[in-house]
Amino acid sequence: MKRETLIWLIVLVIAGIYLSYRFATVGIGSVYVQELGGEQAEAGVAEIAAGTATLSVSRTFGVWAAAIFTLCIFSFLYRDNPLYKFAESVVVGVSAAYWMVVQFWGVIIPNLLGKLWPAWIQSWAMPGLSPLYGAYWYMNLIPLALGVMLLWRLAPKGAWIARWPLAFIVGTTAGIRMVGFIEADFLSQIANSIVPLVVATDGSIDVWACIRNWIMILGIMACLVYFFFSIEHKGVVGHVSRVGIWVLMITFGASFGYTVMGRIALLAIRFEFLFDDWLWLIDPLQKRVGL
Amino acid sequence: MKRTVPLLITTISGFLLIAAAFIPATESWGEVVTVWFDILAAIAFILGGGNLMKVNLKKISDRVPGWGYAAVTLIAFLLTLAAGLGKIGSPPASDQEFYGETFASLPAAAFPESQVTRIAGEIPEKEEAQLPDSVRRQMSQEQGEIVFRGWILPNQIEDLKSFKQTLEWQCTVENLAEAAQPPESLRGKAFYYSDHSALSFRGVMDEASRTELAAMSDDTRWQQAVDSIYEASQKTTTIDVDAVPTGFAVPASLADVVSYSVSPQQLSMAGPMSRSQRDALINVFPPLRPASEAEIQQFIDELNGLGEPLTEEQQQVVERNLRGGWTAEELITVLDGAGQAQPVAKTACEMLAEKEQGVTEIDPFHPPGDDVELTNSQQAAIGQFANDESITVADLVDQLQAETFTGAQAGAMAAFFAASPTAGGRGKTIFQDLLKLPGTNLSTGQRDWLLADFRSEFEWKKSVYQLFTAAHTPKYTWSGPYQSGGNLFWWLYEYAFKPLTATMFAMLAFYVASAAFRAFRAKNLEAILLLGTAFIILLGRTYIGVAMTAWIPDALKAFRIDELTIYIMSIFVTTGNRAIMIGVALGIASVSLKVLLGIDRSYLGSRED
Repeated sequence: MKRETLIWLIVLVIAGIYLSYRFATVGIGSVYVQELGGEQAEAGVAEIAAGTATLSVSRTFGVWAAAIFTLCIFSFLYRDNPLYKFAESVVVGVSAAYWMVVQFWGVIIPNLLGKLWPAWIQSWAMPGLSPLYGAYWYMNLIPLALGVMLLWRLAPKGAWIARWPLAFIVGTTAGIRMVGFIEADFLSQIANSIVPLVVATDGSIDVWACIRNWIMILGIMACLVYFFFSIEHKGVVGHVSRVGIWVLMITFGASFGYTVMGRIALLAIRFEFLFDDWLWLIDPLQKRVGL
Repeated sequence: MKRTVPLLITTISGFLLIAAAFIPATESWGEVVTVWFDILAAIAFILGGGNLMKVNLKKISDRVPGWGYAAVTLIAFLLTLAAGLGKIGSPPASDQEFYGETFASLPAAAFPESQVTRIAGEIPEKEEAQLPDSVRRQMSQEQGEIVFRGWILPNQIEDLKSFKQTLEWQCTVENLAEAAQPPESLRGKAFYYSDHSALSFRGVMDEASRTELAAMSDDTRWQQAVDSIYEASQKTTTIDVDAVPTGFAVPASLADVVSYSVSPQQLSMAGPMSRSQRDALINVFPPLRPASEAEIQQFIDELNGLGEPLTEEQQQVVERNLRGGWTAEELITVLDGAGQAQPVAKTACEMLAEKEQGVTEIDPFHPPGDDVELTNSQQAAIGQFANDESITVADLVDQLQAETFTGAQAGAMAAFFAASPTAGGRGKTIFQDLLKLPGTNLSTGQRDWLLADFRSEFEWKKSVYQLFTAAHTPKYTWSGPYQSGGNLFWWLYEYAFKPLTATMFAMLAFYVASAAFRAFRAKNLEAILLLGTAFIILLGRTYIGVAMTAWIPDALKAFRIDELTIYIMSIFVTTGNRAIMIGVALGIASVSLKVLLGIDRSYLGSRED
């Protein structure tokens, strides 16, 4: 056995003993639920003390599984290893199926099958649906046919058949995006940038608001000059585009700062889960006081 | 065929959406195309799943290195898929079930001819709009009359009223709603659900109702449906109960269907149980009365006797909770408020009559009547109820109804008591509030005593829910949400998908930080601006960053790091993002046009196949 493997084995065994001891004595990671009419709600100390809550084996196992998955992913910080690969494989499988299920029940059943076979869908999946055909229901045969053609990609031959639905997806995406971006980004951003260069409040000039608006207008113009590649960035154009770069650099710096903070917040949430929900080492929300 | 048709599809679908944005007449086309897009996007997820299976099965079959991980992916995929598509562990959707009713399948054609309603009138013709879905199968126009097959339901009345907003039509619907009802003795009991092709009966069907229903038609299907409901509604459900509330008596409104036996302790329900029946059975716990000083002291003494005596702070918590209930004055104010007269809406037929009499400005409401305020004796009865636990809510209602007491006031009183804490709720709140105080260490005896009422109330509630569920026969077993709390799909999402994806994103914090450490070098002005801004923003979002510059006097507060962050975000970042968004929008518009005009055909792939 390699020395490194031995060290890791010892670390894991010690961790396993510690966790088993804490689970047996304190019950770390345990989740209690109160069940009423088939619906479960997570129980607090009062419900546990009153004896109306019961230990949920599935949820307790879930907390342990989630903690182990979290550690498996974190293990990649050391280096690529089988535990990380295992967790990675699970996330790929679960997420692919998750989105498939969401789309099936959320889109395909109500928007496609529910319109083509309303009575059948109403009889088992959507009791609230009218069993009657709507006007022009047969038009929904088109997306059904395109869908079947799209799935043809899985067949060994005739992959070109999937081009038709793909072309539809590309065309509609282009149409939606074009209109959406022109309306929401292009026109509305220009409209919002048309601001007064001299701001007067209560009869006097608001110097700070004037400076702010000037910086904004000049900054936007400078950035747009930088984006204009049809002329060479030399002379005045070069100087202006340089100012544009400065504004962009400040923007990118701020975006970078926010991204890092967002990731660190996520990291803190993961650590909170490990130390609070799983190991019961901290209790910031006082969930277990008196347990 | 392989390239020209896709090009045409791209162009047509794209320009259709662009046209829909600018030409109102083509708006509906755009909506249709968008729905089709959503459908194809959803099918693309199925394609993705299929592809994942194909790739991983090949890896396993070829025994490529790491095929074991492919097997893990496949197992996780199939397990999640089965759990989600099969809705494993999902109960039927409670809002889609008909609690308290018994069903039998009955096609609309088998509905008795004697119950078909015919009224004078004409169904309005509307361009592009059919009759509402809920009535289309039951309603028709025959020889100048409107014919309705079945008994009209409240949702059908609403649908019909919103079909055309004229007084004439609204009045016709009101007349239809009055006429298309079952015989008086069966009103509120027998229903026909055309959408579900089902006859239904609320509660237990008695012999008289059965005879009356059976006599409506000789059709075998009708007879079978009536017999089937009669048989099913006679079912009595019995459950064992561990504890019943002290002094429990079946509420008078349920005396016909609910029975309780002391030995063995069992609760029985005849026929199915409705939600209102369930709630009436649950809410048998009397509302708490305002506690007197003596009662508060007695409460504290009892608690002290069961363990370590309460500290002054703990006593204050207990006293605050015991005093925090309702008062007689509050109840009187609520009832007087509910007694204020409200304007009553006129029916469409009343307004139509006014219109025909030549009234030009029709008031849609009748003038409100007189306000009803509680009399002195009614107020005294409430005061007595607040101080005397031997008086029940039913007794109080009897006393109040001896004089003028409106339905709105009765409803307001029921809501008032429903919102008032019970003994169990109060004990639980005191227990939770005491635990929040640092150093509280309640003995087992104190805990048990405080939570005893809560425990018995919950056990009772649980028993009633058990009876409610057992007495109900689900009509749509597969109608529940695919992700209902506690089912397998929810478990996989909550304990596998969510932590795994969140941790993967969280881990990027390390990589972003290490990449920044290597890449960021303040070697020129641009790099200094980027690095400096990131530094200020990062510090500005932390407590330490704000604390570091908190000492700067107010006159120069613009240089505090949190203020700097605000300036940077509101001025420079807005400026930069605006320019980027304008640039991106122009880029997307030009790329979209290139695709739609067939200039960019890269999405079609190579010409080889």
